[in-house]
Amino acid sequence: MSRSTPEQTEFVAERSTSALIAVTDLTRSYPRGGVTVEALRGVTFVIDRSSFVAIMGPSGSGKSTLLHLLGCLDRPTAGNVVINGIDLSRLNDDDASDFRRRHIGFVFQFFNLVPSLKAWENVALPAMLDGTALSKLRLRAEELLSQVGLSDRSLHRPGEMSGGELQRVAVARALMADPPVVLADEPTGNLDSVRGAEILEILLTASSGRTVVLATHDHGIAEQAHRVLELRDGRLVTEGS
Amino acid sequence: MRARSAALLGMVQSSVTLDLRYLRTRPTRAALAVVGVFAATTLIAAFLCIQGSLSNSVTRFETAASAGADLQVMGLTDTGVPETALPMIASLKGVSATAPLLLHPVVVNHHSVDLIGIDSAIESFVNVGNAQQNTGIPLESVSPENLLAGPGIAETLGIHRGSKVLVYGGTAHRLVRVAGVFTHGLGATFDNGYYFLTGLSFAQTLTGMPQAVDSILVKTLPHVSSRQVASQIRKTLGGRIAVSSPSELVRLGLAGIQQLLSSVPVVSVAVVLIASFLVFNTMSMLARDRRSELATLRALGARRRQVVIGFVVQALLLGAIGSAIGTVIGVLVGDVLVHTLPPFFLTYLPAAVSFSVPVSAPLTAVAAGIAAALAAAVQPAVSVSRVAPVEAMKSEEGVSDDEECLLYRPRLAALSLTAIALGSVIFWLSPKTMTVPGIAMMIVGWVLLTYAFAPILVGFACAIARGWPRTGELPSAGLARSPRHVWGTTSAIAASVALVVCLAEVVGQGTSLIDQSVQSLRGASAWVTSAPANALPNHVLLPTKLGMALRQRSEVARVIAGQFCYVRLGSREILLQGVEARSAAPILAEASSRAQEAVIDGRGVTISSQLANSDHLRAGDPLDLQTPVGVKHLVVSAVVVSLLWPEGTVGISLSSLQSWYGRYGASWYEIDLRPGFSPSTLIRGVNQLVRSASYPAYVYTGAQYFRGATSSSEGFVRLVMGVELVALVVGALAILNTLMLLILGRRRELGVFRAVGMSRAQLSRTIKIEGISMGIVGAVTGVPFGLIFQMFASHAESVIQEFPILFRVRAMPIVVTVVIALAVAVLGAWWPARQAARLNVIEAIGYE
Repeated sequence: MSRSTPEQTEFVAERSTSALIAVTDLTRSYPRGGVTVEALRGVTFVIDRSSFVAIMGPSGSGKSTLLHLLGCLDRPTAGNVVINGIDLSRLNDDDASDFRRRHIGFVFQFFNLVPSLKAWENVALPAMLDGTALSKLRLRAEELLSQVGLSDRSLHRPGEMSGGELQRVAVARALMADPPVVLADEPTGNLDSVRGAEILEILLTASSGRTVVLATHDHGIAEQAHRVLELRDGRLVTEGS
Repeated sequence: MRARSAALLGMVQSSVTLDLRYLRTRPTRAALAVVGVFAATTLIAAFLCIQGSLSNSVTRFETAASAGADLQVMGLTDTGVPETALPMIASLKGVSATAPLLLHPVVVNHHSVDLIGIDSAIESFVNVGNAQQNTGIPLESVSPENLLAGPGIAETLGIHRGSKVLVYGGTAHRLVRVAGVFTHGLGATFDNGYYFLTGLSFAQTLTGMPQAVDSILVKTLPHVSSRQVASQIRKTLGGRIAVSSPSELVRLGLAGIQQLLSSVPVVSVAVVLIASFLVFNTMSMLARDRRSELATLRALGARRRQVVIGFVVQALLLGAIGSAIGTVIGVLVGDVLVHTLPPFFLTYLPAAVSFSVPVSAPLTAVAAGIAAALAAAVQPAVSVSRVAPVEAMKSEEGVSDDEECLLYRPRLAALSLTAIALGSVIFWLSPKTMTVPGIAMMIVGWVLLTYAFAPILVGFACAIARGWPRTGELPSAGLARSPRHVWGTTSAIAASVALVVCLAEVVGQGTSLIDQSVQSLRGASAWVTSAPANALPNHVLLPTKLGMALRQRSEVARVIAGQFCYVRLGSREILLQGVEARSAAPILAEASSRAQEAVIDGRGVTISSQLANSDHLRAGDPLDLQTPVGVKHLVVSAVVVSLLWPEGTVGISLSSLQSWYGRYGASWYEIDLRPGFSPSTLIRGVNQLVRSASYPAYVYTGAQYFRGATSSSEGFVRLVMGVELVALVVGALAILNTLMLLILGRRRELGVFRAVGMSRAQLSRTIKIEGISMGIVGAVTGVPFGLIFQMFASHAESVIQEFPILFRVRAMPIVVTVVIALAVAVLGAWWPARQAARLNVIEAIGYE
């Protein structure tokens, strides 16, 4: 297993005080059919505040795994992730849930809206899970829907909306808890190029001032990022901007 | 701390809101979830209401009849207690008041009804000062030789104030005026109004009980022990009387139906089990269906606890809804059943039965339904708790499902076998007291055992599905994808089949036994009885002059008299049968000729197998019988199978019964036809003779009397067949429930099948094969379990009910049960297959 060089580790240590996200020697492996698959091998990098970072790589390169670890959805085999000074590897399951709820906004490739909730209720979901009564969240939720251009669809359910509209609702939901970090996993993967471009613009506009980390295989999207982290076979091979 | 609690509560509330919102948008799935609970609680509520109605009716009657007395002193038979006992009891230390009471069955206008006779002493127990208010009758118009009627009997007979009724009290009949009808108060409600009231002296005249009463009510002084007073009374009056508290009288009153009452908990446990499987299937499907959504919630920051609590609350709500509806329907069903109880059953009770809903009935039914829902939701909730937030990143098709992880569980198998063994041991050693705990342990053990070996059941179902021609792997793959549902469904069907296999044999043997035990009744050409053949013997006696008149008829070769008499034996009431030589009554006819001789000579008695078992008696053992004329020391000549009276029957010579107990007359006359005469001539002649009589008399041929006597078993068989039918219907519901859920959960997949060219008929067939395959596995696995439960049930019946039921394996009933179960499986699969075939392809493919 390839680990970070001492120089890389020192670099992260120096930069972590100013960076929002600091990843050191991050490794994730899975047992699969008697064989150990190394999805990530000693990845190290930092991400500054208010930046837009694209993670690129072919299928199986580990970009989704990296996103899972950044989003506290999974635990690394080795290494750590520090976001806003919080070492995610030290969090138990409840603390991890709390962290995700308050510090991370997710935009999923397959929208992942709750079919039984209306649009504004889907937007309000993270705050609702935090214990706030739904009725108190309506104003804020509708404001966010307005920001993404869906103020007239707040009472519609996911089954009544197109793919583009669904992803806009998902973007609004990601911002409900005012998180410092927004993680997006192929947010345009299920949309046509026109809708995809619209969504990206909305995502970046609405998330201004936050750190956006976006996994994609679309070079056109990557070109708009401040930095591109390219993964291959679980290793960080290039960093571009 | 308070802030944290509030935050936690808010988080839980949000989760519950999401879960309830899901149910609202999925009404079909919610309905399928409540079906099982609804069915179970309907049955339980109905059973409990019937049980409660019977118990409450008897309790109300005995309590009212006790009139607030602490003790009742009664005769050993319906010949009562001599009035001379009154001053003796009144003079005892600790006694504050006494009152004589006559409560005796008479026949009024051919209806059997209680006659109550009281005197002024009753005012120490009951405030009768409002009699005028209660009846609206001026007291001065009530003469000592009038009757006051309860509203129930007044309505039945169509009588009112001023009517005249013909009263037969066992010796003579008399025309008596009705002075009034009670309209409210205790007079209107006692025994549902089925009684007449008069002065004690007139009542004694009407019933042929001069200077005797049925009971003496006794009130004790405050702070004096009733037991001590009872002991004094027994010492003073000797063994000629029985002393009972009101609660003992209630227990005696319920003795006849104790078998039914004791079966309710057992049936309830079985029903809750089957309902739990249905709920388990549905909750598992809900967990699976919502896996992607739950993963999203976890990814967005829902805690594990939030998600699980919301799911459990969902199960609780579904259980509560199903229970509430089921309980309401169950109460209505119970009301209908109470009013349609077969006549033979009602004769086991001393009181008229009215429907009532005991408070415990709906509470128990609802609690059982909710408990079943919660228990069934445990494993799905565990599954929900394992949903990893990372699954939110995957497409719905890619969401992992621990359905595939249905493994062999050797430790669970060991635990389940332990539970089964322990339950078996405690049940076998003490079936009278440990029926419910023993059966519950065995059932829980069986459920765990099937889960431990679930891969075998699922593999079996898949192999059967694969074996169907022309369909290839599709039904098998469909089953393999949902192993937990297959397990739940096959187990529910197996439980239904096991119940049917067990009941069919045990009840079948029981009813055969009843039929065999009364075969000798066919031996007489005709019977004239004081009670209908399909009812228990009553207290009414046919006059001896009837016997004399029958003997004088030219077609009659021989007339044999016999008498039934209920007698207190310790804390029980047994049935004495006084018989004459060559009687066809089973209590004599089933004994050897030597034993019969001993009985007729007065040296011995025959006893029923129930009495023999309960008192550990065998032929040759002594039996002491307390009579009004002293203790009679007898010997048991033979033990016969007689199921007439649950507490036991004793056959003695008629002359002994009449002289010892002072009861002259007959409960029945057996008539043998003289050669050369036709039975129809005999019946016609006897009918003519009794038609004009004021006493009730029922005429039957031997075959008719036999059929009437066995009608009780027919009624019971019908009841049991009803239970079996419900069990099989629930099995069908299990299949329907599972298949509907699988279709709902596989809409896209099924839509794709249709899109690529599968016809409606092929899709329908695929679903049917899945259902039938589960039905086959359930039926086949249910049979061995049914046989095991049959073994235990046979043992229980033999010990508890003293029925000599054998454990027997007969192929035909088992084959019939399996065939019916398969037919039920086909029925259960029909509707889901139809729904699948009618899927709109475009909608199904776009379904989310």
